Amino acid sequence: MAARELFLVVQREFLSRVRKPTFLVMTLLGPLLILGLYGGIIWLALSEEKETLVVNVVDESEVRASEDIERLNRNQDIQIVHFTNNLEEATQMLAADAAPFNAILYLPRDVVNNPSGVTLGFVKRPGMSLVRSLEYTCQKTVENFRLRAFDINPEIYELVRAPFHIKQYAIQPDGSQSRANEAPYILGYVASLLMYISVLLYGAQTMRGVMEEKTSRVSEILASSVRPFHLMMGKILGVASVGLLQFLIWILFSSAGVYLIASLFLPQTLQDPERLQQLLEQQSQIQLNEGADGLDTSKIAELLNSVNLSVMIPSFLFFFLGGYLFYSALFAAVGSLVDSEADSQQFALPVTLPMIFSIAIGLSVLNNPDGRMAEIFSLIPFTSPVVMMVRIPFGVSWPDFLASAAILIISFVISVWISARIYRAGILLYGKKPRWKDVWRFISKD
Amino acid sequence: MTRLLEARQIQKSYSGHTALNNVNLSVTAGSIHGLLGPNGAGKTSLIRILMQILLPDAGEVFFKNQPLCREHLRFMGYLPEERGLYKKMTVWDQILYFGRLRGLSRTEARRRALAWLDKLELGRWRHRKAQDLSKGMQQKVQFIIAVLHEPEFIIMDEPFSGFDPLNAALIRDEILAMKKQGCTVVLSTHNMNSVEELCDEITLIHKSQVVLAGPVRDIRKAHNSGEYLLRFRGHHVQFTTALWTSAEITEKLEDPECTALRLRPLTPGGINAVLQAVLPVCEIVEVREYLPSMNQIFLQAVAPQSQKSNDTKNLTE
Repeated sequence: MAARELFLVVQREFLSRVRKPTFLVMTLLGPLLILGLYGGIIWLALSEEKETLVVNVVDESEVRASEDIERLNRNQDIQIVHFTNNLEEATQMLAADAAPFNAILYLPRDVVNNPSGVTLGFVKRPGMSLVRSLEYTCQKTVENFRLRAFDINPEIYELVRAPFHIKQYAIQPDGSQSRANEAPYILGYVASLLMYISVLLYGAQTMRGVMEEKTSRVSEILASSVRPFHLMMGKILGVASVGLLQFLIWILFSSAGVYLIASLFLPQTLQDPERLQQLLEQQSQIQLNEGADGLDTSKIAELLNSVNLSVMIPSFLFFFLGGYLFYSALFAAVGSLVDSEADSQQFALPVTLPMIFSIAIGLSVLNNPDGRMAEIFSLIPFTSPVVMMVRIPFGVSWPDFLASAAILIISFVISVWISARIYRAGILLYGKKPRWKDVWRFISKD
Repeated sequence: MTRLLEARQIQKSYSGHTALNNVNLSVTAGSIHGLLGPNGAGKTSLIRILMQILLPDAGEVFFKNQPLCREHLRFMGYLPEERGLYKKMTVWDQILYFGRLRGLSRTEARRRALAWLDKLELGRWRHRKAQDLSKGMQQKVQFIIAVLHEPEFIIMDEPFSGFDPLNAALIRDEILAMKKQGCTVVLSTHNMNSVEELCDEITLIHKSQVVLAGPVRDIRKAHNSGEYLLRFRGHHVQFTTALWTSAEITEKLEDPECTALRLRPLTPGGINAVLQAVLPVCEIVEVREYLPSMNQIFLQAVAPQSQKSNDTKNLTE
């Protein structure tokens, strides 16, 4: 009978949510909306009006460095002009908005020995990339002067220069090697963020479900038909099934989408993983030789190729389920204590705070995924779902994984036990806002 | 008579406040039992204990002579005072959901739901959400949910609240029909007219304790003060002169058609002597033994001592 009760509650919770039009909209349009949002941001960034930096160089250097700067400048968005060599006059013109330039580059007398004396003045701050580019040109100019001082030909120096990029690889327990790149950072960040949003989103749904039963006064009739524990578990599992179904649909849609895009837009050669690997090796060798920096399309393809989805997806689903069950039991207890959205804030805060904290921890763990901090917070159930999502793309040892998983499961059982005690008393509490003292009494009393 | 449910020496307290203090309740099978008491007396706590929503601190409950357990819930129905429905769920889905929670198969729940919806004239509303129904209609749905699994024993807490007189009569008839079919009903209400009309026995709780219990007729008889109600047509002064010392008039009652009095005979001849004395001077319309109403009994039992005399005076039959 108990199993039947539980099944009926789970079924109701599942169907009542899945039948809502918002479920269909969120499931089908959710990922599209997120993609659209990101696409929109990228489009806005790309379509932004091109900025041109017209720099008036006030050159007081003994070596007439401005000529070299003009010669070495490769950025077409930066124009070097010599309108005036008087710093004060240039400043006044800029301030009065009467200048045919929009920045002043000042080169001091001993610029070769004291490059930190170089300054850039402006009214409207130029873009970061333009400033970086100008800095690079100035650096090259000063370097060239210094090379000549040592009687070294800058062209020979270019040949001698060896831009370095250490190719990293991780050794697997079976002795094989896997390429190490930026993918774990990106994946860890995205997965932990997704975990944070999912656990909070579905946890809050459980809380609202309990509150709905309490405010609509259905709780009492339910409590006389179903054990409070089954009622709470039914709600938690019902919402969890909705979440899992939603993820499953998203995974299927994403896989189909990636396959479709790959078969439509990628050349046939790139669809074969081995061939792609060879091409990537060649490409990275060319990039190293040319000293190229930054991401390009081949690098994006490499990142996509290096993501181990067969580990990531099951791990995500496990930690989502564990984290959700742990948190949603606490959310259900909060929902049973209050009968208005406003009152829920007081009790929901202690539950949501550790989750917010875990995102901050996750960012630190990203820098050192195998450090002491990462290990400790992987064992604390409040933070482990998010922290483990950061760590898993970098590779986590089995003992670490199992310890974190086991503690999360045990903690879930404890949180359900505590929450059930609060829940059974809370759902029958009308018109009275409980105090923390009452909550403790609900937990401790048989 | 068989006892269907018996609660013995029930005690319940909440953080220092005693809600029930050694409360006993005995419900006869096939009867309608009134559970009475002022607000805060402990009725809801007792009902929740009987429905196994709360556990008592001490005491035992027996159902069909067996210690009460979860399995008994299949035979029990409950219409709580704090009742509600899922606002965004259809009437049909709610009835089926609760019916199945009470152990009915899907097919049986459907069959019974259709019959009840027709009986209470809700058939055409069955695919509407609860939030689209009037309060009265919602109350009917709640009633169906409480009785769908045809319980042998049902507790109804203020079943008539929220109903217009027409629908209240409909529900009252259904309760009587259920009793006829052998269902035992515990009725918790403040409406003393419905207690007199429906209840076979009562238990009155006041300040966490049982102050009165037993069959309604026996209780009313036990509260009989030897008074009679007398209605007559004739001159009032002649009537009182004829009455002289054979009876004491305890109250003059409002009556638009004739004179109505409550009186207590003072001579050994009793009411017969009174009638012999007054018959020559008036026309007797009605004479009957005056039994106190449940309302009066309730007030006598629960009102503070100082208020009792005043309240009793203000009551009319």
